[in-house]
Amino acid sequence: MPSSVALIAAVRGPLILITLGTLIAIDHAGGLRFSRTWPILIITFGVLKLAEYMRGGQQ
Amino acid sequence: MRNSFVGPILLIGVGVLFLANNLRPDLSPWRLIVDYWPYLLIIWGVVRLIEIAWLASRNQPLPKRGVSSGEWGMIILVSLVASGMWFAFDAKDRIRGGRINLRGLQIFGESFEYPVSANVNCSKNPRIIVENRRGNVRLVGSDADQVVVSGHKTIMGLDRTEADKINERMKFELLVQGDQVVIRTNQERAGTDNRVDSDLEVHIPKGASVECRGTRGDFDVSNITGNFEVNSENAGVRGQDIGGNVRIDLRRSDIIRLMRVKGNVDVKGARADDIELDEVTGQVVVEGQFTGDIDFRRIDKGLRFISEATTLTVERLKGRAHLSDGDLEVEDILGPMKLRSRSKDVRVSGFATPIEIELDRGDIELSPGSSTLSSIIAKTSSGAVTMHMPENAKYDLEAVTRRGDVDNLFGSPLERREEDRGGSIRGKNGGPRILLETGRGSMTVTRGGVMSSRSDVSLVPPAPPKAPKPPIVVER
Repeated sequence: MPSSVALIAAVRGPLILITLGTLIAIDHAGGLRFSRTWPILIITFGVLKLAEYMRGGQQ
Repeated sequence: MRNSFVGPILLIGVGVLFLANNLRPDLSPWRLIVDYWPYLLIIWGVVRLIEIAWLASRNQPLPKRGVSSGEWGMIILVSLVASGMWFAFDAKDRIRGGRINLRGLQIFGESFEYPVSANVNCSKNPRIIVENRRGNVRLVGSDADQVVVSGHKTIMGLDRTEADKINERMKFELLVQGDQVVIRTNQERAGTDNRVDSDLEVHIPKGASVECRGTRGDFDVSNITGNFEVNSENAGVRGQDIGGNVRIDLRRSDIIRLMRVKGNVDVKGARADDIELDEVTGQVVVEGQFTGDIDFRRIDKGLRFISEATTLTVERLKGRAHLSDGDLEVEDILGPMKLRSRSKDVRVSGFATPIEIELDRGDIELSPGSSTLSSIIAKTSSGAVTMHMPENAKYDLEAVTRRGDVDNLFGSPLERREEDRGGSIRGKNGGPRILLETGRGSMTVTRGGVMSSRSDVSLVPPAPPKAPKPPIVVER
């Protein structure tokens, strides 16, 4: 198994991409505007980075 | 990135898109991209995730980044182009209304609500004009000779003072001008930076005629004896128990539903989803581009339906005509019917009047409703044709396929003949002309009882088991 740090790092891009797509889809569907929800992208990025550091710390 | 699924999947996607465009010419591929590109991003991400999970499960080295920088570049490009087009489409839809209002301008702020209420006395048969750019309006006929408005407006603003100012500017108006009552929400005075909506419930005299003008929002009118007119950019329209004529002119709509209309109905929708018309005593004309389900029931004086790919006229519809994606089903008609379509599978049942069908592509199935037939012409360039012939019918039948199987399940006196790669079924006993024709596809004539279109139980005796067909010979 590759290390979980590498896994989280690899998964980060796709997860952010999915989040981005979801936010824009919500915007288009008439829900919350992307102009209001974009900080969720930063939060997602931060959470994933945090997970990476915490995993790294354990090894 | 090497070994990635994304490239091939994009290729497949592009192929599917163009195929969809070929099969459904009424849908523009650009429109599809513009409407669904956010899902493309989601799928992209999911594919990447699956890839990484797959690599991880096989203990293979993971890429350092799940999405390479080149890909991010492409994603940004796709996003920019698609959202640019989205804005363009959106603006195009708006500019036609005479005003441009970019959405998404409302970055900060929250919504504030203000009540609306007013009433005024008027004549028994006033002409009510509703001008409301955004928001939903419901009008209900009642016995009192007055117009009573209640509801609220929603104003987006940074804070209450800003919203208050806007509310001050867009004063609600209820004016009587002779025989005319004008209901005006004056949203255009709010400016273009703040989004405002007005939702109203209006009680009006029963004898009123109603004219609605708007940009975005639904109109619902019930229980009036006068006319009902709607002119809007984007609206859902509902009408019940309308005594007069109905005219609906829209650029875009998610639903149009009319029930129990005594007068004529005229619908023009540049792009609309679902349409439902039930019990119309007058004439019905529906024209536009449609993507959803279309349902007509009990149209007394004739129906004309015109879209890019399909033209249908039925002189009297006692039962139902249902159009969806690739199907058209007509049940119980009392007048002649004419259909011309590029691509539809067509089923017509319960008819005794002349019928004319011409398709470029699609199957045809006919089940007359009585043994007294009228002339029938049914042609398709590509598709199967099935005719359920009533047992005691009089006819002068000619059923031809230029390429395909011929099945005569009716038996004598009809004669089946194979010709070249196709064949024909012919026979007459002094009845009306019945001409069935397909360029490519099977031709079947069965012995049907009189089909009762409303019951689920078919009166057609079960067809005898067919002999296995020889494999289709491919031309070399």
